[in-house]
Amino acid sequence: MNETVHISGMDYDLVHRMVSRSVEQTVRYAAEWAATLPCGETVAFYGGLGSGKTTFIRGMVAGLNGENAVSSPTFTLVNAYTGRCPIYHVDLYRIDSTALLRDVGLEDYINPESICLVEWPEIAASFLPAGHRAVRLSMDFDQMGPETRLIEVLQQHDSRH
Amino acid sequence: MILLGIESSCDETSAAVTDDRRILSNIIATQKIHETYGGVVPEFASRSHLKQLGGLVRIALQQAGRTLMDLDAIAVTYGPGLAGSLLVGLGFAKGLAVSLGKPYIGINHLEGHLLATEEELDYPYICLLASGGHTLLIVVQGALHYRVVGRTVDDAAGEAFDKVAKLLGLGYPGGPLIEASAVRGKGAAVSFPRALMEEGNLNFSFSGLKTAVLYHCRSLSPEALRAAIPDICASFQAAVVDVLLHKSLAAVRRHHSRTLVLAGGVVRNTFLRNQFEQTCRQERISLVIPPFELCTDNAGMIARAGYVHLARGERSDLELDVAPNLSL
Repeated sequence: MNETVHISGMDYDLVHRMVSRSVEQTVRYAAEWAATLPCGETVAFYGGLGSGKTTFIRGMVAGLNGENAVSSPTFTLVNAYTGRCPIYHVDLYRIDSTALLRDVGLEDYINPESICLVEWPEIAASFLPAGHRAVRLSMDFDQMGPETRLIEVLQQHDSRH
Repeated sequence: MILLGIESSCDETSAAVTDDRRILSNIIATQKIHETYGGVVPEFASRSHLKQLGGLVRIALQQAGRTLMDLDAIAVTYGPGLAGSLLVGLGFAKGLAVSLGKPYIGINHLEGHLLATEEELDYPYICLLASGGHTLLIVVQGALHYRVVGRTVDDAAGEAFDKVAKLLGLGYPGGPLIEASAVRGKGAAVSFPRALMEEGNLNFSFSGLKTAVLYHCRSLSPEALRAAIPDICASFQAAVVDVLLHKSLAAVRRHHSRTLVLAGGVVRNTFLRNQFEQTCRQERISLVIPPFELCTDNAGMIARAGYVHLARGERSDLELDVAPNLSL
């Protein structure tokens, strides 16, 4: 029986949970995980400011043989990278209503040929495809110290099954 | 050559009229609405560009003492930026060009920043472009000959200011708020990290600095944090400026340049300007800082860049599309 995690109104099955002690470890894990991802997947990233979402994505893009430098798309909203399939890196930090979300055109980036990575996805819950993946990054200063992150790899519980 | 410049790549709508490279008018409308949202909101951005652009062009022409019939050409930003916002400017420019029967040219917004200054500079010169969306070190090797030699590997400098301001509960836009608070604090109060400072590395990283501010805040009680905000702001600002200055000087030395040009909204920070001025004086580097309104996003710099291209006989055709991810 899988453990279920509730985030922003959705149920996720916990696929893997690990503790990373360093940025290097996070990047390495992200690269290895990304290498197993088929094209067409959408991944939502949960975690506060400074929790390491962009760092994790940098590792993933390396693991997808991405050729471009990963940077934060907070101002640009969408970065496109070329890897073994097109990679779209979307950041919804500045988007605060679904009306504004339409202007971003998120649905253009979610397709069978591409991998779509979405930071600050809470506003876009209804736009994420059923069964999408998620990564939740959390830190607990008192328990774990500043460099350490809890990484949870999740998959949305698909009610159709 | 009388030129109309149009800029609408992000949150500023701007129209300018130039005579060759001389700026006759440069009107910038910043969308105050963003302050309530804590950032640039794209749909608002494109809608309000649409609403403002016609009026801005009229005012720009009026201030320049010209009419539409005086225009010889139009220069417009076609990337990088928000697709919807860019479309408004590019569509407007194409329509006007067709109706006037005049040429137009699409300009890379980043190139606009590089060519913002009126002075004729000796090559090669180094440009530091630091804004909300970009942090770049560029070698300008000759006319229209650019090479990016350093860039941020995560957050842009201006984005770091905005996000740290958010962490501290100061509001938006982060740059001016942090600067104002920093005046009452000590830059050496907290030793925040300076990333990628090893010899030969011209790239930037501000994400770790943001995280370090977060750790520091979490280590304080709410009362202690409130009292420490000026010190945190001053120390954060010192860390950002240290890195920008260190790497700009390294680029100047490595590329045997004697001239450093600053561009982008972050350059409006007074502490930054003072630090750069002081160090460049000591190092005998000539520092060029365009006037404020030419540092942030504006159509004057787009018209100037447009002039350089048009004078070489270049034109854009109507097939030109917006390029949200355009690089130099």
